[in-house]
Amino acid sequence: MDDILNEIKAMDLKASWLGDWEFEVLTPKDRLASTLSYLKLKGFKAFMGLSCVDWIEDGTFELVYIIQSYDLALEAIVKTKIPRQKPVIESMRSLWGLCEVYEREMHEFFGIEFVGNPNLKPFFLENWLDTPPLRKDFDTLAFSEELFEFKEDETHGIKPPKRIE
Amino acid sequence: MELNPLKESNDEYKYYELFIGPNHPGIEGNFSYVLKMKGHSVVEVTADPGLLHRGFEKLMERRLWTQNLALIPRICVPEPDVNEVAYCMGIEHMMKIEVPKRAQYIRVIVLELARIASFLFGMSGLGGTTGHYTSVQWLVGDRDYILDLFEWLTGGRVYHIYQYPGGVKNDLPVGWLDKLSEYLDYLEKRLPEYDKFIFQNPIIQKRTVGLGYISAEDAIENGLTGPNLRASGVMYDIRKAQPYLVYNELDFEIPKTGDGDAFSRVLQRRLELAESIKILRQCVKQIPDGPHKTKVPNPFQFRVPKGSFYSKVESSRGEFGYYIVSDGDVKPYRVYVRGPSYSIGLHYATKALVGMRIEDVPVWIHTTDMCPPDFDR
Amino acid sequence: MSEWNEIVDYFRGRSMWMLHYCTGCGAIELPPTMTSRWDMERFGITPMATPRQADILLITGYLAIKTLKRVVYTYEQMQAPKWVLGFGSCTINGGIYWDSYNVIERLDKYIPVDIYIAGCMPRPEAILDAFVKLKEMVQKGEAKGYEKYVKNYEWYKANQDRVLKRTEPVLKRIEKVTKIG
Repeated sequence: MDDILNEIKAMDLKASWLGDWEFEVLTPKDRLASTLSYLKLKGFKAFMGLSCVDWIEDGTFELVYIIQSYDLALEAIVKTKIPRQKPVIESMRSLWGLCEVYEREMHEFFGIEFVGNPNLKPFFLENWLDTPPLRKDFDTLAFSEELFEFKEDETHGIKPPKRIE
Repeated sequence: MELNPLKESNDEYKYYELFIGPNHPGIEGNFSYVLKMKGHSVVEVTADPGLLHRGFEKLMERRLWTQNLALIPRICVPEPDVNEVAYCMGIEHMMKIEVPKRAQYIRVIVLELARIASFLFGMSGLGGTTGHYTSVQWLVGDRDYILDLFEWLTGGRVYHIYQYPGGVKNDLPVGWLDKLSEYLDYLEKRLPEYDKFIFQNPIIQKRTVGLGYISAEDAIENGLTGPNLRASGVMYDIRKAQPYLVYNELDFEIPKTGDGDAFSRVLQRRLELAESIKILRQCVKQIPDGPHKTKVPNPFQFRVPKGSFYSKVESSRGEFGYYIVSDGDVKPYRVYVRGPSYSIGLHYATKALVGMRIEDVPVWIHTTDMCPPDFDR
Repeated sequence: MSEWNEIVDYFRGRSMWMLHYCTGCGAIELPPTMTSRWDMERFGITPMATPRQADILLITGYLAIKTLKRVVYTYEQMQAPKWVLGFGSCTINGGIYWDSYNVIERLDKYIPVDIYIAGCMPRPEAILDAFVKLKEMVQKGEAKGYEKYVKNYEWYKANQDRVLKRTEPVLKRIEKVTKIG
């Protein structure tokens, strides 16, 4: 099982074991597509998930592609970093059609632009105008208090309801 | 030039839009498909999720590592224990905590009981959509005895909040295992009856056999996991391939149906239910004595070392994964939840339902056993 | 006339149909309540597929903003003697999702609630107890949430629009989102 890791290391990519059944691969943004398609050829055919981590202090978004090989019973976690100010990356939907929905979700929750994905419409949220909610600088408590909290004096210029007998 | 206003209007009304959900008896949970229909058949499908979105991934960043244990069972409502176990296993791996053998056995017991409950619930849903209400009454009733067992063990019927990093919260009550064996005896007697009235029932057979065939390539390509994948002939089960807890000490098989149609997907669940009973019986026999938890830091000092890990558990719907990132603080930096229904509900259904007749749509949805809370999160 | 109303209320309490709409995770306790073990049809309560035939709207747990819109549509489609049952802690004050950006906190602000069931999850016995209590209230003519909604329609609408028809970001102090293209 170390063969595949050595092959990846030979490609000048950082790779290491995370657990018994999974390893991570760190790749630069422009080599993401080639890394993923290489792994897909090696048997990592199932796309399990796409996640993103907001490293606000470094000013980067870390995209995490989780893919799986059923033959090797291994999970590969491919990570790449993109700048937070200009979060653009190419879409992987030509490799897995499934990526389309995951990218749509990441676009909504982090504001990342996926070049080549035609379907980046709102998905989970409706009429969302604030900062994308999963970014670290979005304060969910302040948002909730502002929008939902019940203030007794808040009457919108209409007289408050009286209890009906 | 021929002017025919009727013909033009016919063209306009050739297609119509039909909402399956959110308020529709044919959908599971609060979720919606917008179907573009032509006559009886589906032309285009759009998934419309987010009706159950609660922002778990954001809320978890705001709570302590152990506070989250109260939050995460709510991600998958019919089978909440997988969340707790996957999350705890991730933390334990990152903190290098050794879990006592007895706690691992208890976890397996809880997981398998939850799996049986979830299978019974899923199969009862199929009865609802095919108009076979006996199965709803019977299976939900039988599932309720499992909830009684859980209530005795943990104090909660639906949400248990029983797992804790380093073990489980309290030991098995005296007499609980006997009660469990009694229940398993009861369920084993019931299983042949289920076979008679569900699987040999001509109505259910006519509605499901040959419906919604999924090939093995399609299943892998579209990220299906769990019984849906195995029903298509890919015999991959995390419990066998990457054994966690004590599954490598237990003797069980992965049943093979391999037709890939709706009927085999239900049958797969039925056969795996029998395997779960087998696992539970072995656990009752083999469970060792000893402590049920190890000592871990108190919740306010509970820090997970810097790093990341993807921990996963085979749930009754497929792979439930938690990608956990820690920066060494008392709160998680980021937790990503991979729900097993995500790929089938939001992506594959929009392709697979095309061309299907309207009355088959709810049946297809129920045989895939999707669970909207786990992809809405 | 009041005697006539009493008779009508008595019969209303004896056949309450519940809308089959699973708005939240509390819906998981409804199948046991409906089926053989607890059997709520004993009380004349049975699930109904369309809002036009239903009397009870059961809000089973938290409401996401997107669901709130559907719930308001549904509530307004239901015919006049109608009652709302808030199910679980989330409908009272947001429950465990008190700080979530997508879950409303107090249901009473958006539609009138006749009776609440506390707990997460409430047990089937608690659900049945609430139904019996609601039945008593209906028979006594106490549950008049729908009249309250008509009388204070503007207030309820303003509260709903505040959440559903946002035209500008809620948190203004945060700078504009960096979006490309």
